[in-house]
Amino acid sequence: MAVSMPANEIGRLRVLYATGLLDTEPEERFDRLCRLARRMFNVKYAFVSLVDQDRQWFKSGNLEGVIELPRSESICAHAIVGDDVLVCEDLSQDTRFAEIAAVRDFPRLRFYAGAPLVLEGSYSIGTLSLADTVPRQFAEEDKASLGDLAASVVDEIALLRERELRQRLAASEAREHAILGTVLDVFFILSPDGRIQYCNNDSASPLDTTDAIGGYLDSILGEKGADLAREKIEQAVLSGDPKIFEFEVIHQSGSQLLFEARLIKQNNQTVFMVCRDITRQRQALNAEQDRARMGAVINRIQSQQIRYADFNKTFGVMLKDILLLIDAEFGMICDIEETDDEQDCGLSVRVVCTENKILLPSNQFIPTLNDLFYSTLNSRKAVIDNHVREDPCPLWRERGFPALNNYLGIPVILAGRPVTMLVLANRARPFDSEIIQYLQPLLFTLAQLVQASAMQEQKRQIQSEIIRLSRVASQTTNGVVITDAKGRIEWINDGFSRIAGYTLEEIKGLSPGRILQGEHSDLKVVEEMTRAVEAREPFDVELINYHKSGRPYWIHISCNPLLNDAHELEGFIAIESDITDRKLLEGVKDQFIANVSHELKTPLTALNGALSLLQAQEEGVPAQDLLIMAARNGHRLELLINDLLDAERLVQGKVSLRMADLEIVPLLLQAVADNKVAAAGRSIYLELDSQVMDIGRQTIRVDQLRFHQIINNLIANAIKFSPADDTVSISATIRGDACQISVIDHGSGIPDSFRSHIFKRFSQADSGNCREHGGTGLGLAISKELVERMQGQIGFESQPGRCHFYFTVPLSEEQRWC
Amino acid sequence: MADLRKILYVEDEPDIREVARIALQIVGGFEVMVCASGEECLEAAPAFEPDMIILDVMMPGMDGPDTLQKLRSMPELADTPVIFMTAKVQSHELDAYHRAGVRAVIAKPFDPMTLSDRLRDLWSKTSI
Repeated sequence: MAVSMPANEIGRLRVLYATGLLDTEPEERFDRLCRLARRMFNVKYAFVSLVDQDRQWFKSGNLEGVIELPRSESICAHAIVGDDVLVCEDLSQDTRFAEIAAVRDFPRLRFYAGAPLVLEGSYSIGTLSLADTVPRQFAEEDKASLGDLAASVVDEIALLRERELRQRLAASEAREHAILGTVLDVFFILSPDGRIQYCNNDSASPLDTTDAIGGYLDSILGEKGADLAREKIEQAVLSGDPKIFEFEVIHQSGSQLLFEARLIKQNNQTVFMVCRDITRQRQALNAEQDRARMGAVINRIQSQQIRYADFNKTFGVMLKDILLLIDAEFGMICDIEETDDEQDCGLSVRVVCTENKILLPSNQFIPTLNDLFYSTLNSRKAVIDNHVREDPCPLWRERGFPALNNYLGIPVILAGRPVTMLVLANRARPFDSEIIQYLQPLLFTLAQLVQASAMQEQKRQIQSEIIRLSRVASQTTNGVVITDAKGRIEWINDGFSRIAGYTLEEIKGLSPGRILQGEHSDLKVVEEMTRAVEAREPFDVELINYHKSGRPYWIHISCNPLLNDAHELEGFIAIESDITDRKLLEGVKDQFIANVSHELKTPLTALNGALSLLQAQEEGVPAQDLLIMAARNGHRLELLINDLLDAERLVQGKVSLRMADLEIVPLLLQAVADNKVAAAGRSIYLELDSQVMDIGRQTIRVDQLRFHQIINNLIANAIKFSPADDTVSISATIRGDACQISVIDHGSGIPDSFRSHIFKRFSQADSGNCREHGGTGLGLAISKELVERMQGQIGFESQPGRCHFYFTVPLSEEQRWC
Repeated sequence: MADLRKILYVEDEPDIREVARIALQIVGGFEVMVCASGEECLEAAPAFEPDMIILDVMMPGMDGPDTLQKLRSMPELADTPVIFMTAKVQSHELDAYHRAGVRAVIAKPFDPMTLSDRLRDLWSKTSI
């Protein structure tokens, strides 16, 4: 960029150097003007810059920390060439400036306005400049204002020079004068009657000593101060001792100033008096005392809280202390209770302090608020009313509380919501904003206490919830597991210990899956669980787990992620129930359905097949054989279906028995005859024990049809389980009031696993596709039910190679008496 | 491709055996040999040289899958297609049959009038 030079460049530089401003420290008087300019014009940058021979130097303000620029990069260098304010509303559109660094690069200046600082009529030594990073308009009146501000900067520069001159002058004057002229104290030489012989009336002291010499102290110290001074002068003259006194003066600014005067007698005609402004000193001292008192109050409040942990008591002590500090008579701290209507909220009074007494009205509720309280809460700021017209607490007056004449209400805001209000009233002096300022540290303490109180309440609620939940959790028979976010066990209940066999100590911090899953745990389910845990989703699964002892069991797991208020994962809670019994029953039922469907389908296949072939009337088909086959299989189906229905009716108690007294022997002979054919089919010999004949004509009380059903079932089973070419024997013995009937075969016996549920419905010791046994798995269950209905018992003794089923039936009653 | 001609049929239930025999022999016109057990089948099969063997699954002693396994170990019958005929056709049961190496499964009850056509159909598919 071409640098344009002012015509008077050499003279300009001379004037610039004469100011002595280049490379000096920043000065508040310039900084202040820059700040003013920045605010006035609402720009990002305002600075006083001086344009040296080859650089621009920032006296005040800077450009993002840059305090010096080459003159070739300086916009101000252009500004000093003209007399008027240089304005460039968009630097990027100005060919002179678009390419300079501060415009092209950071901070990407767009706007510039600079007023030249003109000294001695024609020398522009620099500018007062504004700059911004966005283009903007700059009106004529803005230019005028900037020009005025620039004139102020010039004035400051000139003033500096004048002051320098004056100081040089003073330095050349009398030494004591120079000293007196630079001190803040006012030095008087007085005659004993208080007439001023001399005073350093150019001191910087706020005491107005203009035209004091020759006059009296009254015009300077005021009447009261002057009287005091005369009294002290007299004492000083009489005693010869120095005297010290204080007096107050109203300064022309209106503020009250406090002075300390020291009197020293020089001789009988002359007394020296030095007056020093101690206003600030005294204020500082008072402030220090206030701070100390405040600190003591806060300490007391905190120790009170630690000692008693009762928030209302602490609030009471605090309130009393506040009233003492500010010299007020009435105070109250109350919680703000929100009601459904947002416009309306009530106050719940925690503590009241009046006439030095602390009252705890145990959260008395003020339902509707008057204007004073409402405006305090609504404004969310401290509200002062020094002339209370509407008494906010008429209710309390009835209880002996004072009427309020002045009022300060301060809401305590927590989490953006007013939660508590401090009310102070009936202060000896009016309330003012200073008092609010003064109370700040206490208000902060109050807010802390309110927050602590709220947290304590929340904690109490959470704790009681936890206690309640854990009581439920530990007493439930279900297992409960709580894990952390990574799925490591944090807590288990007794139910879980019962199910899985582990104590919390044994498995805390471990992953439940790793401990509990094993060989037969379904991997698909495990994968589903892993996926749900990673996705933080609830899941509901059934799975085989392993007890500490290694015993497998079926478990139903219902697991939910635990999220905190911020919706962050804190862990998981799983409710587990042992469903082993249900699973076993399901397995037995599945097996039953499979068995039943097979048993029904076999005769159905033959029946349908035979009928289908008959229907087609194909040549060569043996129609007669097929008809017989169809009938036989139809009958077999009927028997099976009866069996099923029988079992169902028995269970439902719908079978009625027709009891009769019947001889035992013919019943057994009939049973053997009935089963002869079936036995022969498997080459089994059916034998009636010869001892049976010894029973003679003894009778039993039974339902004939059902008796045959039972014994036929036992015989059919015996035939089924016998090896081929073997014998099944039937016998009967009298035992007390009953007859025991036995059926014995020589098969493999009852497997151990089957013994416990052999008489249960739907069961059959099934082994894969081996269909030697057949049947619905209902025979024994039906038999047991029938035997018991006839007042008897059923049972078995089994070992490999010998299986003995027996049942008892009661003897007829008349025979028992014999 | 040779026609399906000789079928060996194994079933322990005499009535069903008879129905199937009539269906295959009289309705279907196949040359049929029937056996009452897996053991009987293993004995008779090598001499009969069947084109296809139909096995009942649930049988006393050797059941269908047992018999199939034994057949597979006999060189002359190792590649003979075997079909199961059963009432146990739940999906996990079917999976087990196919794992055992069966060509097809025919559910009971079956229709004797269409049985032969189904077998011919399966034969043409499995032989390709």
